[in-house]
Amino acid sequence: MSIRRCTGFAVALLLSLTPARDLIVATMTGHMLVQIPLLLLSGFLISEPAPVYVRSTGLNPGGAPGLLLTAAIITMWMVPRALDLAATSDTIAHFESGTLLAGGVMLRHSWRRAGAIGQAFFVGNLTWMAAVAGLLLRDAPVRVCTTYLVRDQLYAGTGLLLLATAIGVRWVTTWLALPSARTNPAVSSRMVNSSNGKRLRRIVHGRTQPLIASASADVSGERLINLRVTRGRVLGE
Amino acid sequence: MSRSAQVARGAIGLTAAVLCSVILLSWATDGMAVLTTDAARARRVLRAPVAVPSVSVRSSSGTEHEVLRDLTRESTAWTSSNPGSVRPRAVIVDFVYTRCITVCGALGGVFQVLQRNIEERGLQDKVRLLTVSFDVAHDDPRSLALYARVHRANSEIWSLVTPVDTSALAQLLRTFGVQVIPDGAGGWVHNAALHVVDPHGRLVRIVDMADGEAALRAALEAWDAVP
Repeated sequence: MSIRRCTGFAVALLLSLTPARDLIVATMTGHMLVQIPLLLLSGFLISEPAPVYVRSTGLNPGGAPGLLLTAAIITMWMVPRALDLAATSDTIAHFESGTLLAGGVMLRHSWRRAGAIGQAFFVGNLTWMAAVAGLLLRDAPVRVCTTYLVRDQLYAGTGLLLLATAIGVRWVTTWLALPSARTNPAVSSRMVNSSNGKRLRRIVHGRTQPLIASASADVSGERLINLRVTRGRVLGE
Repeated sequence: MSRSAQVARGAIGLTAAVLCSVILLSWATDGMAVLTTDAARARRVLRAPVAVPSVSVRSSSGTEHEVLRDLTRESTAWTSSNPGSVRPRAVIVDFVYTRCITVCGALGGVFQVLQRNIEERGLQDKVRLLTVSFDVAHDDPRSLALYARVHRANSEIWSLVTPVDTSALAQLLRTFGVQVIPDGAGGWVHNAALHVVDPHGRLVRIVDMADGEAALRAALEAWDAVP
């Protein structure tokens, strides 16, 4: 098991089954900006991108169903009532952990398959919604959660706004950087990782070109989706 | 897999994802109707009234007292000043703690206005007010009496009680959907609202604490509804 997976499992266990959870969800900021994102992330780390056993079922065409359900799960845990329920009931807390882990797994399964358009739709919608939710939390004249203090609500709203902005900006800059990869020799391995199979072919003009070229000779078009470039080595998954 | 089978499977996957999404979001928002716990609570009560549990309370006059259910039914024991045949009134209930300097003071003000309305419109035979303190440890009859005096409570209309122990309190808070959390400075924060209990002792409506007029209207409706 890779380090990435171990980390995913460790974080998931820590956040769902130990007293650390109670500490984190004791504040609204911890709940919305630590617990929920980390659970999603650990689900993401646990799984592998577009595994064959998922693709072969044909139930997740273009990653659309996976991304849709993940978006619904993230949206659901932004509802103040759902936060209250998860903070006060152990059963609902486990339900929360389960759905968010599943969301992270589905996100990983669907991300590369969704392509640039699908990804843009997903990120655009969620960051927009989170930013609006953050603004509403900051401006709400009353407490929206019966479990959390109004001061905490202000912090959580601000944090949500910042997080959404950061993700949005990061996404847009990645997006803008991709076409220029053709002329920019310093294509980072990260960028290759975050792109889907089709784009992978297009950015081989950078420094990574020979690596990709030699690797793509060995794999068919379908397998190319799972190519990863790590520290100058090409790995086919 | 043939092309058509692929499309069919894709459609199944997408439909399942849409269905699951709708189910999850409906669960969180009580059927796409509410976003907050308070709103969900008010909605549930409106659809299905909840019987107020029988718990022991202590009143501002110091009498350790029958159960709240009896209180809302106005048993002869409670309204000793009235003959036993008095027709039970609807009750508007709020929850406070007397050391509170923020929302409870405002609630006291709302109740003061309500009391004046009841007096001026001659509704004292139909509607009464009940303040429940959740500060079981601190709010003894003296504190309650002080709170009553500060807000000029008319004992014929407005009574003040505190549950005798924490288990009685927990039962009450659960029924009324009130959540009390520490404010980090020695006090508490709680969701404040006006709860309307009908003459049968059933919680029938929860309205915003700023909307005393709506609470009064709901209380009168509840009183009218009882033959």
